[in-house]
Amino acid sequence: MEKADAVVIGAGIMGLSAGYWLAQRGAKVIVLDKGRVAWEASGRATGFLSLRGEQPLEAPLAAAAETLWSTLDERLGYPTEWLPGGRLWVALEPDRLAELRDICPQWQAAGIPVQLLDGAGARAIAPCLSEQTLGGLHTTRGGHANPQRASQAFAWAFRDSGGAIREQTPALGITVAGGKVRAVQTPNGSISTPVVINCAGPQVGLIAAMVGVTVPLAPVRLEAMVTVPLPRLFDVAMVGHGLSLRQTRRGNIHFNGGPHEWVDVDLTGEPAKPGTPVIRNIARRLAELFPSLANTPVLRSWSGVLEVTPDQTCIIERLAAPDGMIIATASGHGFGLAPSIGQAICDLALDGRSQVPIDGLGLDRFAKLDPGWRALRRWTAGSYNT
Amino acid sequence: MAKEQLIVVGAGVAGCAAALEAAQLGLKVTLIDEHPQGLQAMSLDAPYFYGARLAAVLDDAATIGERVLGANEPLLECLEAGVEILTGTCIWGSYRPGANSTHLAAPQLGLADGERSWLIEYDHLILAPGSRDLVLSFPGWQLPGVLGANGAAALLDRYQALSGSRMVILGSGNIALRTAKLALEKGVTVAALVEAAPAIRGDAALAAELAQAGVSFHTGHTIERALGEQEVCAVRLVAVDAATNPVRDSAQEIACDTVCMAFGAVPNVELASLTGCRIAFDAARGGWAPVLDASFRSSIANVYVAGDGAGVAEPMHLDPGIAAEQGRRAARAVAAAEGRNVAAEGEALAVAGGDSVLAAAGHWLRSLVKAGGMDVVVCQCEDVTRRELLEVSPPKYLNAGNLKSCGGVGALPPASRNSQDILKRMTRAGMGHCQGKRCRDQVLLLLAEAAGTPPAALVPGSYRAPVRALPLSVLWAGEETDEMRRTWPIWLHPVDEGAPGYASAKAMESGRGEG
Repeated sequence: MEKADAVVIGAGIMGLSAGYWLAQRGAKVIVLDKGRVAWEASGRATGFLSLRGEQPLEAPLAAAAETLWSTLDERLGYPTEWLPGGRLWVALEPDRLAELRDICPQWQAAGIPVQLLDGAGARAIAPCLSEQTLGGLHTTRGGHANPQRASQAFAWAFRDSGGAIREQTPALGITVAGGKVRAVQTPNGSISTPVVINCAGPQVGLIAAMVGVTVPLAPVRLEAMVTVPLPRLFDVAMVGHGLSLRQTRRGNIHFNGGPHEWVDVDLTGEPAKPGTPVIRNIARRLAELFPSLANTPVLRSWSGVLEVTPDQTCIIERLAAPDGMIIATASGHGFGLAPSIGQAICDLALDGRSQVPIDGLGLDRFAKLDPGWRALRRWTAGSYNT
Repeated sequence: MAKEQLIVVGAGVAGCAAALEAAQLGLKVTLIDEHPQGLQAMSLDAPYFYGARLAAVLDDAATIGERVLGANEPLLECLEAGVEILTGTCIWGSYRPGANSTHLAAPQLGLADGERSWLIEYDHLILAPGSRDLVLSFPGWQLPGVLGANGAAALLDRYQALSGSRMVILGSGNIALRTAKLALEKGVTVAALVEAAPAIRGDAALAAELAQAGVSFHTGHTIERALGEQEVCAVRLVAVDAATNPVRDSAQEIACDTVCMAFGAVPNVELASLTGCRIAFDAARGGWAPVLDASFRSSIANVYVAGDGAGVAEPMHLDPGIAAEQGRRAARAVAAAEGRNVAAEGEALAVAGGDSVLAAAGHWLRSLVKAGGMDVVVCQCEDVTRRELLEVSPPKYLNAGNLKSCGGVGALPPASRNSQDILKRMTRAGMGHCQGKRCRDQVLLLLAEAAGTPPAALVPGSYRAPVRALPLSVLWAGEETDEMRRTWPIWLHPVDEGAPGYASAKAMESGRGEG
């Protein structure tokens, strides 16, 4: 039987990052994916890194990720299109502005420099913003990168470090004996390993169920779009008017948001990712936010499926039972955190504990979760726009 | 939202025949065609490779409208038969309820004219979107004056706006011969017809007719480059042997102002693909084409594809009757589904094969690579050369020359290696303004050659709405309801301040999350 020090399930950016850091420490790692590298959420993400001021449990991971992002191109040897342009939340309506005022102290309490701006202040950072802009919340920290290129950079660097990526190779089962993980079964045979790292995105719950562990997740499909390339307009990763958006290094405006459909996934198939006519409404919001860009052509739209946890916070844990099983999901905001989450996973796999604090991110917080939580929230497959 | 009984997309031969037949069988038909196109849309080379020298008259909507409608007699027949006709209207999206999109009420199309977009539902859909120019690059192909055969035909015939008088045609299949004949009819001199293979590929009788008319054939030749500063003024040809190697000291220059790439045409499957119709590789029909039954019904019961969009076989370039009959068959199948008394079809229509356009294009491409090299741009929009494509180099705007080489296409894992989308993401070839229409086929041919796989084993790039680049202000949802404005979700849902606040769904009702 083939042997590895660790098997990673999921060749998204988080699994590839974990594989990369493990390979750096000399571990023999195999990354499995039912499809292709970064073919699902990682290749379809917005590409943001946020400092997670609104979620102090994740703030240490975010701070560590920010440090890593600034050195990643050199370290990996491949470009990620990282742009440390900061973050800007803008409000076009009084209710939204009030929310920004409410959230500001949370960020300050987390020790992240943020500034409340008026409309003119926000437009000074992004001059294409509508004159209706009432204000904004700005931090020079955080930024954005190209999700596809950054994921592939990790894949190539992992490969260069001796790692193996097996595409179109789903994990079909996990062998446990004596309370320990022993092997992962694939269509091409079993791989003997003492460590299984579950970074399977929306499939994390299904993989965990193979060893009898419940991970509460709800997969969701949502849509994104890009315009043609434009001259440089702003560097910040922006949230506002119901959209998340950034201007890519190439110059395209990459934007997403809006109504989304809750879905189910399975272990081996590629989830359907149909688009919907909602792209017209999404386009309208961008034109309302940036009226001077109303004549800018839209080039394409796409859908992606990602997973959300009940409290929209990461789950990162090395399980006590079975030993050797590590679970990691970032509830749909894992892209920016992936460099440091990968390191945390590497630490958990080799040392049993993470150097970056991950306290409070374990599964025990869901001990009292109502098993019917998805239905209670109308987050079950087919529900829409909740 | 309006609901139509039958929508026919495309007012070419197949679409008009389908619409007319259906109307005569008593169906209520709406026929939609994107021509006449606005100059801006044409400058994006959609749907054809019009090239970068479009005549000023194309900006005169009234004149062009008259010309395009006047040139389409079958369309006027449709009008007389009571078909509702929308011209100057493109279809940019196609949506159906299905897995992970269950809330959509009914199948619907996204339409747009120059001003706005809207949606319509349908009971039945016949797609007749025609073919796309198969484009292969050579030094100088970005010059004004270089265009594709479909683009040339549209400008010569429908738009009467080809700004050129002396044309060199690359290719010798039926589409090339047909273009030469049309050019001569419209008073354009055909200075040369060039074929990389040793013999003319297309119809012998038509080739003889063209030779009689004075067209000189250059078989066993390829184009080394198009010459010119501001626009094309000549081509330099070079003789090639049977293995496509250039013959020493064989270069010759031929003066011309227009170079027509008539390497071949491939079915335009973007709408069929967006609709969810099964697409499969069929060499005899121009590559990836919809899977259809004898009635030209796709894998989706109420969606049909007819004409060149259903697959381009060589005889179809010379015999419009084939596409027309396909359209009529689809219309009769729709009528039968609507309970009309329609005679049973006879034999399945033989889609005559002929040689594979992709095989011929592959031969052409090998000659072009040998004559022009690997540093020729494949993707004009994003400035990607053949070498950069196959080395999977980061795009130039990143100035990433100091970083490592990833090892090229061959070093990708097998499933990624066969995926045009992966290559597109990494190199950006196909990501630009023309939405990949100009580079898609050459990228696939280069990838097949480099990966050592037959084209059939590749996974072509996906198609994405909008399949015509539309301004935000046009795509803009004008009819958006107050309800949607009010309930527009902020991604995603708030984290309860007492996180981990999973216990109460109610506590999650206001606030914000992170993109």
